[in-house]
Amino acid sequence: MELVGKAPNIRRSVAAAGAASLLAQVVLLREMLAFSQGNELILGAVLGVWLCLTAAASVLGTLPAWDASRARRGLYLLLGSAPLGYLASLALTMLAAPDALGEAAALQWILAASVAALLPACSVGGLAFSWAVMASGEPRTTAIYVAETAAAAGAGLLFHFLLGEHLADGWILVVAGGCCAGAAVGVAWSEWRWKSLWLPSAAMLAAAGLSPWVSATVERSHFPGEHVMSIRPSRYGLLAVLSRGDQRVFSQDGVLLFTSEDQVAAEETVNLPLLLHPSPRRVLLLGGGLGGGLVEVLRHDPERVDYVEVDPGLLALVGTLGAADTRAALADPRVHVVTADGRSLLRQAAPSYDLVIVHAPIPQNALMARYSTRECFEDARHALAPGGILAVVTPGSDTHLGEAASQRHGAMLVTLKNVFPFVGVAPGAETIFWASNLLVDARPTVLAGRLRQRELHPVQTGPTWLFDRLLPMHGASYQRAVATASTVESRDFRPVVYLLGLLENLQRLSPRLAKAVMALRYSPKPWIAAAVALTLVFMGWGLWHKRGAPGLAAAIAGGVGMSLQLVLLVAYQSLRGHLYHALGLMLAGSMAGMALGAWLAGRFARRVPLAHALAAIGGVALVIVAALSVAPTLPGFVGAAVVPLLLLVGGTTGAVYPLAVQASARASGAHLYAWDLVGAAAAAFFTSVAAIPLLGLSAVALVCAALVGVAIAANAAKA
Amino acid sequence: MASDEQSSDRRRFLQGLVGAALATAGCGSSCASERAGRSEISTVVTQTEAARTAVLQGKPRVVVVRAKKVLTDGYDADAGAVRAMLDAGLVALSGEKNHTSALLRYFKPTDRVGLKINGLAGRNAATHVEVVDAISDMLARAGIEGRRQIAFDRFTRDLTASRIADKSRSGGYRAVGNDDAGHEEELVQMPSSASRLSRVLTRQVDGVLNLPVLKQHMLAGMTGALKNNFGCIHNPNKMHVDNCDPYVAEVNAVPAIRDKQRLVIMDALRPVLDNGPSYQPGMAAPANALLFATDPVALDTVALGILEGLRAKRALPTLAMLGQTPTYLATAARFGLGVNDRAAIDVVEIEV
Amino acid sequence: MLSRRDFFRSCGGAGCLLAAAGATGGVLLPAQRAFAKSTPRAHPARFWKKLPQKAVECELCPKHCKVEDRERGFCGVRENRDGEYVTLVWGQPCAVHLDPIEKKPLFHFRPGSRAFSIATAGCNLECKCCQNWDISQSKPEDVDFQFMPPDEVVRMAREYDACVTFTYSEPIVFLEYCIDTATAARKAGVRSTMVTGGSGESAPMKEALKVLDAVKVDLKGFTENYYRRMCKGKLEPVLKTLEVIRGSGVWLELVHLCIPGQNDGEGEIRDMCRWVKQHLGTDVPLHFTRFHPEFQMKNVAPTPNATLVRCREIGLAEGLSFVYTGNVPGLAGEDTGCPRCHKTVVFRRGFELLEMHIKNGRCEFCGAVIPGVWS
Repeated sequence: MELVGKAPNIRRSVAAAGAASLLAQVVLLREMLAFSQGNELILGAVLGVWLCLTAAASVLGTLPAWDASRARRGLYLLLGSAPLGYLASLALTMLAAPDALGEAAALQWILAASVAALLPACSVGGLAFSWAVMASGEPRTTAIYVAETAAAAGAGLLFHFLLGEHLADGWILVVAGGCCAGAAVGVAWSEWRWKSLWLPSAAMLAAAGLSPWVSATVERSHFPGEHVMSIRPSRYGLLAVLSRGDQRVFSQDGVLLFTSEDQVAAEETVNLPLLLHPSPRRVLLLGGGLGGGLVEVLRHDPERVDYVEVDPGLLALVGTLGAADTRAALADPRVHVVTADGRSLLRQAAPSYDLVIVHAPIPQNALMARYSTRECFEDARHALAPGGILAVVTPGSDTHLGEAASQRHGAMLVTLKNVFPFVGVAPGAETIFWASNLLVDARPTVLAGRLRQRELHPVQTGPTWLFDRLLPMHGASYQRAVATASTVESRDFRPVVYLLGLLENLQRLSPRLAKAVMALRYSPKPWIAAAVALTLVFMGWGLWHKRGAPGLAAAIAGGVGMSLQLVLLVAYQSLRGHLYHALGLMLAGSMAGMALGAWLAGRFARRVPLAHALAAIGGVALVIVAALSVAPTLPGFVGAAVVPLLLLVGGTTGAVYPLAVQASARASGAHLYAWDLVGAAAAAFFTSVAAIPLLGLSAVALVCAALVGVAIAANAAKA
Repeated sequence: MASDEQSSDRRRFLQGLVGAALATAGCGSSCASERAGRSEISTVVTQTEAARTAVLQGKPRVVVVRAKKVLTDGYDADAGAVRAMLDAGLVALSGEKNHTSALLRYFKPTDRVGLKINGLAGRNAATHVEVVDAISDMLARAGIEGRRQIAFDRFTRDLTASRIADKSRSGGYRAVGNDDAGHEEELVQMPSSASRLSRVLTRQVDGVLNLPVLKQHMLAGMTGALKNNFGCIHNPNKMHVDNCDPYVAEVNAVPAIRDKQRLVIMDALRPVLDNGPSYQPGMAAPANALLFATDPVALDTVALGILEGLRAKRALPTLAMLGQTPTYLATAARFGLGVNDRAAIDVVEIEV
Repeated sequence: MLSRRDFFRSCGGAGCLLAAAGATGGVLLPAQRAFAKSTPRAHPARFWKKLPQKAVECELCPKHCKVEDRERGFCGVRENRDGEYVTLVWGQPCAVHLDPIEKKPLFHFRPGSRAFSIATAGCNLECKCCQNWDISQSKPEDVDFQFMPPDEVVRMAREYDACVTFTYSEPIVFLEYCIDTATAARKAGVRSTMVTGGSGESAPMKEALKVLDAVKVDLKGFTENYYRRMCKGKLEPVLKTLEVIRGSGVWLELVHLCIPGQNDGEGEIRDMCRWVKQHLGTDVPLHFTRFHPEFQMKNVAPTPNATLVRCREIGLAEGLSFVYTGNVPGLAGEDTGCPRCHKTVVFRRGFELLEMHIKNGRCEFCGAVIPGVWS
């Protein structure tokens, strides 16, 4: 197979389109995430939509029977108008905007809106691939695949190092459009020379002119009718500050973080934990401080408060626009603000804290679920001084816990009880768990006495509130609700609380769908039926195709590659915390691996059967299982091993594509590309949302190895 | 052409390698920046191995004081011998020169001291009144006058039957039953149950001197220092299932009980060996011993050994054979209330 | 013709697939429900009529659901069984709680006392901001309910020296249970109150009002558009209910949950206050309470304090005697003032009663009647 083609501009053009596609993907997914209020369920679904639309466009692109020249013209028109296409996608994301600020749009509407919004951008990526293949000849498929993947890796680096934090979304899309415009010129220059500049230039000028207006309109659609004081991107998302009179509202990616006038909420989350300890001198607060929590902690007159806030951008915003008492608290000499990963701090802390307060909101992603796992609680236990108390604050209910919420609370309770001998709970809208090595005296009279001793006069959490909160009748109702709930503890590598949090969020969006999903957890029948059906389908397919099933191989390779990437990223996040740049680089490394693998496979394709390449993926999956087993005991190992493993994953999955192209007698390169994307789409959704939290990382890697076995069996026939 | 293609191949290969190298280097630099972040953490708190490991500051000490002859008529004890045993025990436990200094290690002169006796089984198996009188006298010499001493147990009748209430006199200690003083309204929640605490404990004393009796117990296996604190709650009758485990440990983990108990002196002058905790003639045997400790779990562990030894002399089966092993000792150790490993206890035996 | 190689190949692949499914199932199967799935008991419903072909028409609320056999109404808790309409929540509350009466909020009803609060699943509205959506938007079989007949409710209320309060979800959908329980309560000398959205038909409401002592109604908005968009309901039936309650003499208080940008416009508030004054009188307490993000409005910021203060000022300016702010302890507007001498007769902070200067229903300072139920 030859990789060096007679039209190098085609490969460069596709590379530029690949880079542009990645930039557009990140920007548009970020917008959709903001409109769906950071719900990872939605992110997984939208990513799946992106991949499926791209796959569909890739297949559609093969329908017209064009020669190279016509394909080149089509490519020119497509890439030339891409700048406007990307802007159109950005504008169409407003379809997902809810009716009013902060409301959740209906799930089906979000999905429909994402299809409409992503269609222009995905069309560019999918059609560009197909037409580039046509324009340069079928044997060039692998070269095009390699070029696209490598360029996407580079674009990832560019975005995370430079563009993401400094440019607005509209301008990032203009940069992406510029890549496509340049590529269009490259495609048509040899034929049309200076005339080839017309369309791309016009599109770029129009895009550059419209971009500020589109960006501003989309921004405003996030906050209809609001007075926006500041919007700025940070490493962790898009931060916004709104003002309503004296009230300041802080949000990130559309998710409400806190407001400046919420003393009641602040009191309710920190006062009870502080009163449970007879004399909390050293306090560690993980999150929840900037909305007034820090101010409330200081009222109890501790000697030292360590406050962890991972986002320096948010701290800077609060420093200028936050409530006066919070700003004063941040400047208090007793307060030490640590901008680092809270889990790392816990792991390294000496047993010196009288009180550790962990805010554990309903996890929107696996990162947030790390604060509800056994490993986190064990680290916290080691950080406590003798007689110290760990308090975990999480959303609950004043009156009745629903099914998903009961499961989540049950999982947290079981996890705490597996670590601490004594665990108590005060159920409520903000439920407070406390855990200690010693039995904690939680009698309301004792706590009310401490209020008096400390000369505190809270507006909400006074003696009446304490008595109500700790009423045995309420505790008994709560215990009944969670008693038969989840008995599975949440681990870093098996974040059950994450799944249960997603189910809780799904209940808000669509109670019916949530009920159906929860039923799947309890009933084995659908799983057995699906396994039997898939087995029959497979056996039929394997028998039908004498030459094997390269489409199946491409789909499974794409899916397994995506799954293993997610496994490694979640493992890294769980152990090392969210390091934004590192994650971006890891993804880039993975794509570089794919490019390398595809190039190597293309070079030696004739000597390597497809089944062997698939076996390599299976081998990598088993290596990952082994690595995961030692990772918790060797956290340093993780940092060193993740990138090489990602390169291996990328390399072995990237190698499948060219081999599948060679092995296929029926499907074209574009079709196989589509299969690859479909597999990746399914994996993106199912793995991140369900498989990882349900099965755990090692089991997911094992399932991947088993699925690779399916692909091997399907392709074991000789060519 | 061919060389162009080859150079193009090499270029693409290098492109891929560069991408991979960048990723690795970038990750390395981000790890370096994480190390910078870690040094920021280190300005907050740092970890040492010693800090991480929970190390007991030395072994807990249990002093066993025996006298050749202390019991006189039946269950009565010789006051002089008892005083000598108390003196020796307190000195050996505390390392002080005399019993006054020893007691001042555990109680302040301004404290109100509760004497938690065991009067359940009546005169023949209750805490010896001679022991209570002697220790009360010693406390008075240490500055804690009799009016700030309260001998208490669940029922006034038990105090009367054991003659402790009889000794109640002006200037001397008071004897108060929980049925008289009452219990707190609020329940204290424990992992397996809930109870209301004696108001003597919660309102009338600052520190407690636990004076249990060593007895075999048909349900718990043994009653000693830990089980004696069942007398501080209103509903011990609900906690006699499952060998009283984990209830004994949980009750002792209640902060008001755990934190106020300063010293334990176990009455093992004539332990009940079988059919306990009630007394039956012939079921008790003289051991002529008093045990002293601040760690109630360690004391009970040593006492268990004494009980088993006495039972063996009577050819009685071990508690384990009867399914009466006091498993609450291990639970209490797990709760951090003390040490139940005999090898990790410093046992001092004294004969007076 | 199937070759041996193909056969083994297929078996191998099938084996891998089944292994993957087995690994998945083995982990999933131990999952268990939070609470045992129980079948709710059926109890004869009231306030409905038969239609042809075994259909029924519910007459409990303005929706007037026409329900076929084996179907349920909009609320999800009333079912047609063979032409007979039954309620699936009678005696089966899923939320049982003891609250301060001020939490309802009922400020003019036995301040400092407690409300033994019960609720079942179901609601005849679908408010995007519902604070109790876990139960209001659920069916009875989806919640953890217990069997608690009226006598048991009354017994527990007496044990806690509390009144019985039907609240949280929507008592109108479990009105039969409310009426039976309130009747039993009255016999036992225990008072009953209701917290409702007010979207009910007059006849059933009148029936309930015979045995109730106080009602608090959520006046969610004052435009049909708001009710339609935010609650899938209508305003007009709620206003009718208010007039019915007022006419019955049962103590009435109103709450308006102020949602920023939705129902806190000055014009709407003014119209509301004028209507209340004209149709209900100046003595009906009106509470403007702070919104807390919940359900499908989880990322809407809470109401600014200034908005609550402004709404209260509008209410007072329009001539209403008792206008309060709620859910913001410490904010002006928690205390009760005498409409004549303007001295503070009840001091509160949040749900806590601090001082009361009302004797026999009159201001201690000037003797003016303070409307309400004070003992």
